Amino acid sequence: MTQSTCHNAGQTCWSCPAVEFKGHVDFRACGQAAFRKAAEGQLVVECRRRPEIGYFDPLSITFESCSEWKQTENGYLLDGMRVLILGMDGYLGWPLALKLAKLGCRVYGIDNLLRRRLVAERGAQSVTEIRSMAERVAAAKEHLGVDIEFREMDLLDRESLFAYIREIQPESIVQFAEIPSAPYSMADVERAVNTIQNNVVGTLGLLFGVRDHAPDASIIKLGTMGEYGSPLTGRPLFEGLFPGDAVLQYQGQEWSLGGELTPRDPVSFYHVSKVQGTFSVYEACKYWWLRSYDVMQGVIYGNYSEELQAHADLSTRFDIDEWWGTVVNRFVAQAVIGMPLTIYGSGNQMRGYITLRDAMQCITRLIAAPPEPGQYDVVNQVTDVFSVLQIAQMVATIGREFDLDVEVQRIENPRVESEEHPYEVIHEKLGERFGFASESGFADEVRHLFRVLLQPEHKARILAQKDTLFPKTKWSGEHGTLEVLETWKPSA
Amino acid sequence: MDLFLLGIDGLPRWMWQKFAASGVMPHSAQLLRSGTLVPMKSALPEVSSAAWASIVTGQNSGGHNVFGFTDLMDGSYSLGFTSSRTFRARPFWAEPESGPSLIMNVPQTYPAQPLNGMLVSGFVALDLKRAVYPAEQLPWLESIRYSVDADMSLVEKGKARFVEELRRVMTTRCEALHHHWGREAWQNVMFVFTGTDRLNHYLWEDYEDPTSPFHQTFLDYYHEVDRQLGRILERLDDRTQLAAVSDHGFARQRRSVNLNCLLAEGGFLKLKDSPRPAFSDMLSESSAFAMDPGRIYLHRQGRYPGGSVTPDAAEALMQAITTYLLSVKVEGEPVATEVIRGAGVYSGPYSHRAPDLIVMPAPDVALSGRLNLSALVEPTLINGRHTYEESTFFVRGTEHGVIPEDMHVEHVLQVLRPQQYGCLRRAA
Ligand SMILES: NC(=O)c1ccc[n+]([C@@H]2O[C@H](COP(=O)([O-])OP(=O)(O)OC[C@H]3O[C@@H](n4cnc5c(N)ncnc54)[C@H](O)[C@@H]3O)[C@@H](O)[C@H]2O)c1
Repeated sequence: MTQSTCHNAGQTCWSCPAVEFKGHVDFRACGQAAFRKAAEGQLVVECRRRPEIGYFDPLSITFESCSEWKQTENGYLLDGMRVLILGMDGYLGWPLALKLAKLGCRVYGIDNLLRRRLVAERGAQSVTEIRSMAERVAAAKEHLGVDIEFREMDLLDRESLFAYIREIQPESIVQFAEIPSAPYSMADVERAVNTIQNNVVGTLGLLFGVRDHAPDASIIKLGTMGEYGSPLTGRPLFEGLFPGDAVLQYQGQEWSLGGELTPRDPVSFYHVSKVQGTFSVYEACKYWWLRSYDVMQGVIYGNYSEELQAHADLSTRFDIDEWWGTVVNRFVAQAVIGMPLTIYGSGNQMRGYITLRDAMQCITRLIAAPPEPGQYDVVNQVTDVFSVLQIAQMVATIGREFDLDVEVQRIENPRVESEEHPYEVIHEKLGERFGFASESGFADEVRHLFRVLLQPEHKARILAQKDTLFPKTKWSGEHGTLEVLETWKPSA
Repeated sequence: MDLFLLGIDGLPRWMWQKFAASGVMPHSAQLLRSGTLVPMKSALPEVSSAAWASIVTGQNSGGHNVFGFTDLMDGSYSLGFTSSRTFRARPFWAEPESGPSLIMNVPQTYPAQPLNGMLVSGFVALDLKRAVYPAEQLPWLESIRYSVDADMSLVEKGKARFVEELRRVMTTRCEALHHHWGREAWQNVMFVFTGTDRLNHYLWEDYEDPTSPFHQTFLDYYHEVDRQLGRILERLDDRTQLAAVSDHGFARQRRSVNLNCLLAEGGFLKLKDSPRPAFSDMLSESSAFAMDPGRIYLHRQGRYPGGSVTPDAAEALMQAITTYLLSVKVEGEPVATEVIRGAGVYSGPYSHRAPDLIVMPAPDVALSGRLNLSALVEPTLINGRHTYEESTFFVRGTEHGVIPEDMHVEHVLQVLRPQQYGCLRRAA
């Protein structure tokens, strides 16, 4: 293994969740202060896993030199790390559970199966059939030889949640358990409130649970690139915080912006809930010395991961309808059933994208390299930036390899958003600091999707929900059908 | 009870005498008339952890393995903190023939180890739950809000608030002593006042300046210590051997000088660029580094993973460092009065772990061994420092072993228990 894949070799015990903070000691006055924020003094910690080494300076031992951290292809990983995945039944939650379990983590998860219900309510369904959680867990044991623990639980049921956190003492917590749909959140007041309530209150409650029962766990919080919006000035979308040398100039004066949160301009009430989540996490890190990576994730597509491939019973959900599907996935489904790919407005809206497989690698690397107590950091988890038009064109082109004659359609934009805007995403940290290297590209991933979705049983499940693909939810609150503006066949 | 050993952390012999005479400590005045008070020398260097370990084992650091509060784990750059787990000699209460003992607030006894009796650890003890043996005594201590140490961060909230905390801690500690005293027929009791050291560190300037608003606060605290001492004396019968000791003396501190900075300036220490340097950031060409308070270690080949100093080069290097430290000036004043060779100082199975050099600080100077080299003179609220000379040894009556002319902390047991510890020492 090369040095470069071990992004976290030099991290110290101060980042390690297995280390228990004991106090600050000012040895010059032989005195102790058992508070994290003591201004002076030497940090003193104890390792929960290696109590025999006694109290020590956490900065003096690195992951590389600690026997509890084992080298993996995703960097050093705390042996048998206890990871709690909130929203384990979801599109991302399940493949992450499999990947981490395969890597030797002890994986725990909760989900209230809300996503299954909401998709069913919509008259839609996952294109790939998914098993119940009990069956999935059994399949993981059978086909991958791993143990995963799952409990059906609502994140908002704080009593149960806190008891569970106390019981399993997670060392890392991945927060996926949110309602992730922008159109759902814009459909009506009930759904908007439901989104805000579920996402904002869920994350807020979680933070108190971590504070009180697992304060050393790192929190991987899923945000979205949509939190930033798409500023018309073309200001780069930095990774959450302004870089050290950013400066604000106004009326002949200059102020440093370094380290401040960058502006957020959410693009739906769902995104509003994500922005609130960002602030809640940011504040909790500040008030209580919690630690978190806030992941501004691009739009995910694909359904490939090594572990998912092991058996059909391990499939993760794959949605394509207006509310629950994301664009690339929906386009491939539309192409498969001969429905024109629906572009909203000009199609020049730019967004960041990443494959499911790459996203799983990124999250794993973040888990492997926990922040230090009190540290809040943001990564932009994106590999490519495309316009919707570009995606349609690429999907159509690849569709031809499968003998599909794909049409593209521009329709009235149901959303309130700018259709022409610059878009410069800074996405350096994952590569530079966490050793991330993309393992899958757009074309290969889309080819894989075509192969999967063209299978007759999948095609049938797409056709069965055909009516849910064309958008109906307007941001403006107006009702009525969206007009088709133009339809064409992209040239080869 | 056979023995009551009282510790008063950081109380200089001369100060006790002075406060006894001036009326600040009237019970002490009476006590001191009933026995012998002599100045004692502390451990080398004059750090509490090592000195208390010597007091309770009769050995120097080479015998008990406590050289400071910190130490590098063997063969590594991992910085560990000394505790009962790294403390390698047997304290007197753990000797096989020792009867039931009540040991309260003795430094370096954390985490609490099993013994015949009861023990509540002294500093550094970061979690009361593990500072108490047997564990069933914990709930009561928690119920009186017993703290092992005052919260030192309160200094930042002002001296008044800080002293209030010191008083609270002393009151609960004494309450705990008296509560447990009568529970059993103890053969030995050892009890340590710690607040005196904390007070001296942060209010020494007020003690020296009679016009300071905290001058009287300082004296009042000692008066309260004396009142508690009176309570203890009242309860003790005449047959019990009573001794009182401190671990080091005290003096004014005007600057805290970072020895590692000096070593770096002198070209002996070279660190990789790092926002928060650790010992593992030491470059191989580094020839020496320091740890609190004045311990200097050669970066020896074989002893440290990246060590480069060969046995042949060691002597010249020690010469060079000694010459350098004796001549260097900080803020126009000298830093050291003497640089002692570790090899000649320690005896016992852990002598090989000793520092190569021990720097004795010049007046007004405290030495630090931080690796953060950002400030040669470190900002600190501390204004009193330990001294090697003039710690306190007192023993009541005349039934005790010979008090050596040149009394050191490791001689305490030999004076109090000549049969047991006298021979031990001769054998060493
Ligand atoms: N898929 C994407 O393209 C994408 C892009 C950016 C960000 N994200 C974020 O990533 C995370 C995971 O996304 P996903 O695509 O896997 O979504 P998902 O809906 O498939 O997974 C979320 C899971 O959380 C569960 N859940 C929701 N509320 C819950 C609650 N109160 N208690 C317990 N479980 C609850 C759901 O039942 C679901 O199984 C979400 O936070 C989402 O906002 C996703």
